[in-house]
Amino acid sequence: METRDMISASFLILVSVGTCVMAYQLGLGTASSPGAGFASFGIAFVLGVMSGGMFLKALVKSTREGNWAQGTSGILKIKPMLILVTLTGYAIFFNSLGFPLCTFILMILLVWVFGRQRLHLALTVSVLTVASSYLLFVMLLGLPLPMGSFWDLLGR
Amino acid sequence: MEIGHYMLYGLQVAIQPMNLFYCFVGVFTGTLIGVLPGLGPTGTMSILLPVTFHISPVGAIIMLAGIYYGAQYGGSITAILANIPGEASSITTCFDGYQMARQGKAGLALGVATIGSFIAGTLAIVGLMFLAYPLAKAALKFGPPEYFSLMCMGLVILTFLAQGSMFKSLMMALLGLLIGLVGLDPFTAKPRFSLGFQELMDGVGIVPLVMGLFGIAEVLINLEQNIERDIYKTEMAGLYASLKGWIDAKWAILRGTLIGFFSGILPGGGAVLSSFVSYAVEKKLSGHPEKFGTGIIEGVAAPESANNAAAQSCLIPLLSLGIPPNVVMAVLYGGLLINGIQPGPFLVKDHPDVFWGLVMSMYLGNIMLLVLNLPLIGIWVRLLKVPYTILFPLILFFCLVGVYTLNNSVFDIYLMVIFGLVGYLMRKFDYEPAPLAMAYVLSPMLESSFRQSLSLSGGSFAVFFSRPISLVCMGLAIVLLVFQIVSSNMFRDRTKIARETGET
Repeated sequence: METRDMISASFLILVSVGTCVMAYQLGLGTASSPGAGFASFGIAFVLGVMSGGMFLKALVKSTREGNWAQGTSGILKIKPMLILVTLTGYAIFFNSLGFPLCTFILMILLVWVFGRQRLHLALTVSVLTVASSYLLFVMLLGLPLPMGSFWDLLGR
Repeated sequence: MEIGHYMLYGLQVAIQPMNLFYCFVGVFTGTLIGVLPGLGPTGTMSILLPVTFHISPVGAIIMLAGIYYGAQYGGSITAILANIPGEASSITTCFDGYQMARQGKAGLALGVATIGSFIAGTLAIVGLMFLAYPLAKAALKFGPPEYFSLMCMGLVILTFLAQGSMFKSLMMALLGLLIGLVGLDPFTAKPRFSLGFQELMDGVGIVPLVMGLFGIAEVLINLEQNIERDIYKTEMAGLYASLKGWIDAKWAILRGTLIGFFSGILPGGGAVLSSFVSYAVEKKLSGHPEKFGTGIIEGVAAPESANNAAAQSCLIPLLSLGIPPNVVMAVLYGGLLINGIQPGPFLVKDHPDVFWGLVMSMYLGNIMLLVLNLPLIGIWVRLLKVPYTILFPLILFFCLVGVYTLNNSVFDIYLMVIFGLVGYLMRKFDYEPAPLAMAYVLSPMLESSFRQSLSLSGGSFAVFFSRPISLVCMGLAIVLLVFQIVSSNMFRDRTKIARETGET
């Protein structure tokens, strides 16, 4: 637990310091005429003090108990991370490949690879999702979703 | 007399066919996500926020509110039949509801839960009507110092009531405040913390933030856990409850309604808090507390009535003061904003159609829920059999498309994925996302009122302590903070303590 607190506190200290610097550059102003960075400087400063306090407390406890490595193992699981990478990939290729093809590939990956369902079920779910979402978002709601070059080829 | 006139007007708005349709869509979706564990009302409302762009503001708000109170109904079905809280607010219903199902009294439990919820919901709307309107009128006299103090108090109470460490919750609230300040400064028009991204000039959007923190992160966490759905097969006889069942449950329903109503108004309160408090109170007042947890009707009636009453009463601070008391209301606040409506004291005056239309639609929504939940219970039970491995890809897909359609921007997808990672890590490192989201929503308003107050007072911080309402709010916030420091609980995880001491 202490190691986790130290990691999260370190991150928050970094956020705090970065924000304080940027807020100072924006201009703090005066109490009667607060500048653009006045409130954010104050908030970031308090956040920094609290994170620093938490870091020190965790450090003291870890040193006393000698359990440095404990508490961090198994925090991050591979599956959620891979899913986040997949979602990022969806965003990267969304405009170029288009919404239908991207959605089809995404659903195959999520249902078949990550959901460990059978391929024919994954294919069915993917096709149904693409078809129903096309009907709902494009035909009914008229949302301007990118169709991509693959869709153009199909159209020809 | 004035209220009667507005009620009629609200009814006219609510019974318009499209508004009735949106009300139905809201309560139906709410029941659906309430039944299915893994996606709460916060995530669902944020997924549907982009859809509200394409419908009228009244319809949008009626639908979003319907999701929240509809979810409270749906949550009880899963809790009673599968011992899984479909919603966090149904955790206490599992204790006695599932035991009743095992004893062959599932019908009685479901009947009391649904009809109790209906009674509580209806009474809470009456309370909402008579409290929100005068409160909104009174709030017209509030100045920037009062608003600042009120929001500070709200944030402190929220962190005080948080499940985990208050210290960590406070830090998350501060982080949320900083995220809320990204974008152009409203006073000087200087870009702040946008890190060179043009897309961040308008600030971080509420939809990517909430969808990431609550939608994506929730799915990722659920994928690490095996959600067992062992549905208890039992007769549904006694769905409309026996006479004895009603006699046993009537006071529990009324007490639950009162507790739910008032805890819903509290900043940081809402359906979850109210169900726990009402269960504890019911156990305390009962002549046979040892029977709680063994399948007792009061153990179902009290929390179910409370969470429904709270789901409706928590609209009071949002609609009358413009301050969301919990994270679900923060999403609703975002929904109002993106539809061009500023919640607060002027809402009743400037948009009576939204306020009174919503209030009256909630009566209709409760009737719809009664019909949806009792005769159609079999359909909802069947839905529980859909595996999560099919559901989660659909949830993620709706998040992706929903967030994109907001601005037709892939940047929002990236932002949502980042907040998804942040939300996932927050849960892993024992931080709560609710204070962050709440603070993020309040941040621009908090900063504006803070700067206005200081400008008005010539830079004197005493302005927050020299006006009565402001003094009371600031005083309460400071007392709560000091209380936490003195009781040296700030670094300790209260859920862990509760677990260690075996409290339920």
